[in-house]
Amino acid sequence: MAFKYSVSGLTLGFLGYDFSEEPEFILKAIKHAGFDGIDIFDYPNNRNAEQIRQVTDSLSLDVPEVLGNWGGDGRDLAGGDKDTREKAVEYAKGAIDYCVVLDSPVFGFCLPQPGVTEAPISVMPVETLKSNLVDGLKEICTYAAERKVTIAVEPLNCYESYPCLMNTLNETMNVIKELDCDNIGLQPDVFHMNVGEKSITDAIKTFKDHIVTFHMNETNHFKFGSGHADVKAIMQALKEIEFSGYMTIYMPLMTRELFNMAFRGIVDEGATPVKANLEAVLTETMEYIKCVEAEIG
Amino acid sequence: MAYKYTVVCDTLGFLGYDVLEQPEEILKTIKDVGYDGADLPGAPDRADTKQLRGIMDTLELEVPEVLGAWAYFHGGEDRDLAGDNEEARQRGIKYAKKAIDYSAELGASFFEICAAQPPVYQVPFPKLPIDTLKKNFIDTLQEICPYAEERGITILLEPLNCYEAYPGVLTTIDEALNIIEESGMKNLGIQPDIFHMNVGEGSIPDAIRAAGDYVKHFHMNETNHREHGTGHADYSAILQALKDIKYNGYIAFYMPYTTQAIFNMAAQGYGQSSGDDGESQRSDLKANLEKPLKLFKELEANG
Repeated sequence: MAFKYSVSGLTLGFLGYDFSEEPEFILKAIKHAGFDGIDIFDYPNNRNAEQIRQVTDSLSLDVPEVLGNWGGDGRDLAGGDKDTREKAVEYAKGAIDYCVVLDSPVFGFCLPQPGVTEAPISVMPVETLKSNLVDGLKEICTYAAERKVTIAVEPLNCYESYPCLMNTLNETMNVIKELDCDNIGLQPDVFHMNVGEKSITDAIKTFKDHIVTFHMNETNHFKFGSGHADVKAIMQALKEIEFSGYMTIYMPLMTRELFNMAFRGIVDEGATPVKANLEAVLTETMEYIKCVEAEIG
Repeated sequence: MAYKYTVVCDTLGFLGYDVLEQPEEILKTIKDVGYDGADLPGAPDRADTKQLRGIMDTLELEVPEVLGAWAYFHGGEDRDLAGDNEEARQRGIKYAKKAIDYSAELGASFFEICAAQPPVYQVPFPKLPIDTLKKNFIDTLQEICPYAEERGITILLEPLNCYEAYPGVLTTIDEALNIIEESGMKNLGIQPDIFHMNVGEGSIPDAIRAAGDYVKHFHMNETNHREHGTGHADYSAILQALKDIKYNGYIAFYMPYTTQAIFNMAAQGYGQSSGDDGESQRSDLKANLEKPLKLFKELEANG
């Protein structure tokens, strides 16, 4: 059985592209390179569902997931005050509605910690953080279930997310178990797993029944092959567990200039960052992944 | 050739211990377990240097390295050696000189320096141009290195991961080599660290081989900062790479993370905890010191 491949819309910024500015051009390039879908990163103030649907439908592209914008202000579901946590739940409800109009079956959740990183150990008791998180996720899952949307939880490394709460698949499953909801599962990410897991492939096999989507990227977020992700072993493990969801492929980090332009609005004096060749990067990435898939047979 | 082993004493905090509060008892345990040295914290304002030196000499323990306190949580102040905050850079230089004097008094060979970034990290790239940050960092080294050289101290550069150090400045071995070359300073070496290399390097063993003779000290820890064997560091391959470059320095072990309560106790101040009895929460020091030593002596014997 062949895997289904999607592009992480957020990572188009690594190449200097803003999806909302030129969706048609980008979606055509994605289709042309052989991808089956695009994961749309959610910008709550710019939810152009109709326009996206029109193009994706015409190209027969899926939107397997809406990636939650959890790094936005006041969306801390675990550590914030009550008001902040309620706002985070409200944000999620709006994004789930967006999933419905986009015909996207999955909404991505992660738990960035705000401001100063608390690595290696959280300041607040982990049990308090967990209890807050469980309360918020229960409400989100209930709302999503009524709309036939599944929540995919991505464990982040201990710098990006509260340490020891949801940094590994095991910790994340401990949270999910407390929810008693059927419409929530895991979204493992190679970059983050490299920091927290003992073995990426063993973790995939252990939690095989709960993996909804999968983020395939490199251990240093650059081009495949420049880090030490064993992509072949990882794909073999996914094949072994008969993973039938979408494999979301990250675009590689390119230059600081492109990243700053796309995500921070910073352009150095006198600099004129030139966007990467989108079609070339998409095609090269797809060819690499297809080549590994062919190797595992 | 057998390696010499040391403990990074800053990491005793993960077990609930502070070597500067209880030096005699802790250093004796380190010696009794079979270590050859103890890497001491770069805390010249807290330490009783004479007392420490006396204990080390009596126990015949070496101080291979003094570890710099570069992160804000560690140093208690902004010591930014690469950023555009000149006050913070000067504060860092002042601290480094003081810590170098302290290192010399302790009989240490090395003092560690990194390009730590401010607490709100900038990933995957810094906001400032990497060339600007690098130039500032090299300027800093050109001021610190001659001072260290006059006191017989070699400065070791430790590439940290992109969350802890300015990305693209000193986050890989390659970047460290580049800085050494561009700075023109002779008393510079590299201190690779497995935890950080796991994030930044393509291959840890290849990076060690690329660093070659510049490797003067080595942080042998785990990819998840917990007990050796619970992550995916390939110690056999790493030891082989060290053998390939004919490394004859110290292997420095980290103690593992244990619990949130113990970590917070150490972070808040020795012996304190949030309402619980600090003493009873500490991990077994001797057992935690013995484990990595036993593992690596076995690996060494089999290699």
